Amino acid sequence: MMLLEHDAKVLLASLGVPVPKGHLVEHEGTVSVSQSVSDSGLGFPYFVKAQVPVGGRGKAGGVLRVENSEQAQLALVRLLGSKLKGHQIRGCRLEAPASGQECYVSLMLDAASGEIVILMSESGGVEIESHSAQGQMLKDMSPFDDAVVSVKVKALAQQLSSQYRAPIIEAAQYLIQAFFQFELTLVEINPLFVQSDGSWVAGDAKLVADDNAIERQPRLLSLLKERGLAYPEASLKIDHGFDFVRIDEAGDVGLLTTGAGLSMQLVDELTRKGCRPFNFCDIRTGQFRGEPTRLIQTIRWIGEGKQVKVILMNFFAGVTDLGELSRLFLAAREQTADIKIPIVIRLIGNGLDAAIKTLAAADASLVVETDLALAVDRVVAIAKA
Amino acid sequence: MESIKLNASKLAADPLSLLFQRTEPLPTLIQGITGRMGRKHAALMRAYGTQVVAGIAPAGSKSADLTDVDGVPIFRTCAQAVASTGCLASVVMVPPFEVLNAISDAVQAGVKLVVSVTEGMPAADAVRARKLVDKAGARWVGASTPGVAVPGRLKLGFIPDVSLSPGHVGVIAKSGTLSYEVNRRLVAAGLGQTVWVGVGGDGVKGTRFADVLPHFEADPQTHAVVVVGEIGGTEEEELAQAMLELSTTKPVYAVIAGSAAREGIVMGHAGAVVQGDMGTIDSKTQALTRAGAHVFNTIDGLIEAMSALRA
Repeated sequence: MMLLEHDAKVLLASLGVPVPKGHLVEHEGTVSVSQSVSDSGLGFPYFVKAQVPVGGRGKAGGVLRVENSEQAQLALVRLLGSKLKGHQIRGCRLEAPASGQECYVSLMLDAASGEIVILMSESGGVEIESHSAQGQMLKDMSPFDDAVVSVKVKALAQQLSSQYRAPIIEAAQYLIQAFFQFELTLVEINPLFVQSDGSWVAGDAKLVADDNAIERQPRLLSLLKERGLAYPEASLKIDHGFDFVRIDEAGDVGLLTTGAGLSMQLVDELTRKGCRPFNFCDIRTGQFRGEPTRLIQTIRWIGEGKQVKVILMNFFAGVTDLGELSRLFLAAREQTADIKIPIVIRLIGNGLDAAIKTLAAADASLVVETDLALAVDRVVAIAKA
Repeated sequence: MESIKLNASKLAADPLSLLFQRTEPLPTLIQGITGRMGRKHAALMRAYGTQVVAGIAPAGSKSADLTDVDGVPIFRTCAQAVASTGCLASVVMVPPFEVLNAISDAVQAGVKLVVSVTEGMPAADAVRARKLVDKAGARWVGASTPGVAVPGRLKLGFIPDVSLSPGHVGVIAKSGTLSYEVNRRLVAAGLGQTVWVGVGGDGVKGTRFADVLPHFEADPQTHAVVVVGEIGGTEEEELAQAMLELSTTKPVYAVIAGSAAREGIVMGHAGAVVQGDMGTIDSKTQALTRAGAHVFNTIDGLIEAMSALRA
């Protein structure tokens, strides 16, 4: 889970990292926007920064400099609710400007080696990828141990110009603490503004938390509890125990599927055939425990898609019994009878014959397709009709 | 002809080779056998032919007074199980935050091959587990793997029987379901497997694609390799690099899921996320293609190409 800049800065500031004064605006509509602008307590000029979990926001038009409250309101109205790099902008951070030499520091867990990659540079900023290519980035690897990372950071920093060395080492110490304390896989300050007196401030911050560790990280859990809407996928997984990702609010195909890899592949193949999948879903049939709860929930969520014309239900039952599954599906369908979206059912595996009979007996229109390619073709035909 | 860069003694020392020798039994332990999933899958594994010789219920757990589960003797520690049964492999089916301890217990007791099927093991725990496993000279597959299988002989984990059939294809896969679907169709087309290694969908893991490749290359029974990849991380790129370094001779067929995924959004698997330029479908496709692999963006495409292989 990549934290939004605002949350990353709040978390780092709680450890002592200096960040520019900032204020989060999440409301939509001009009245509350104007209220937010006056509430922020910031003097002009300041920046309005879209909060989406991707890099390169500035270049994509997601960071606007404003000189007065009229411009601030216009910027907020323009950004809030619009999309940036495919992500809905649900909030903006209003932030005081900061300046200085643009440095860079980051720690990243390298999944391949299990080690930590340390990167630092005294010429950071938004063009960091090209700096890296030009060899202006200092790099070292460290074993997964906070004390060793600290030693390696200091050694690597010896190659920096003396005026940037101390600030970058100091910033890195905070990042090491954050990395291990919150079980992050990436933590980055870019730009790290260093002033001529040696003081510094985090211009932007990127934190990626390990999704698998969130349940034992109280700070991250409470963030999800308080601001679940900002992290819909992660908070849904914590609350419901499975994955459901809204891909396209105007999508025409809903997916009621199990298995992350196969569901991703279906999203890909439907997209390639000109459909717009509404969601990704890994419902995990193996965890139903005889209850239709997850099926009901998923059908309801798909039902919220105003353009959804058809649902593809795909279950490969390696272990789960399809006879039992089809009874649960019928129970879920009864409880979601208000949702009239046609459904293409593809089942394969244990108990297939019983499932076909159970479904046909309940409703002759519930025809089971066993061939996935044919099921996908039927879905495409309905979506495009 | 075998590539000169394949190091036979190194391969033999890797416990993955236990899956490629086709004569010796592989006595197996199940950690977590007393749980709902453990019990169910222990029965399915045994029905497939896996020699399940022991289970663990740690002292202090609520099942600690059990002496057997469906006839499989239960021990308090892996050391006791190894001493008493000589088991070489373990399947770990315990909750995510307990996986590290279970792996530690197993490899310290001398278990050589550990397969952990649990979803949701934290990356920091996985890093620590890797160190323990390496130090013990053991091999860990997982976490979060659907399992490994030698069709016709044994399976360690969840892989459904319907997707398994003895044959000549080596399988490496991140995703469970996508690999089940691909292999069910390959089996229907007459193409079974030699060894199937599910590496799992997490970022930090015990066994990566490139670790398995030299075993397939060295195995005379394996004629082709199927790769079921997905976005995120660098494993497909590492595999491509290994193909070039080893000058592998066996054809590699790959399908990679996640081309339509958005940057920054995790798609079910913790490792399946694009961050900036890293982990993209283009990077993976290009690397594998350059190394000589056949990369497909549809399941149908892969099945058709491989069916031709059989003809």
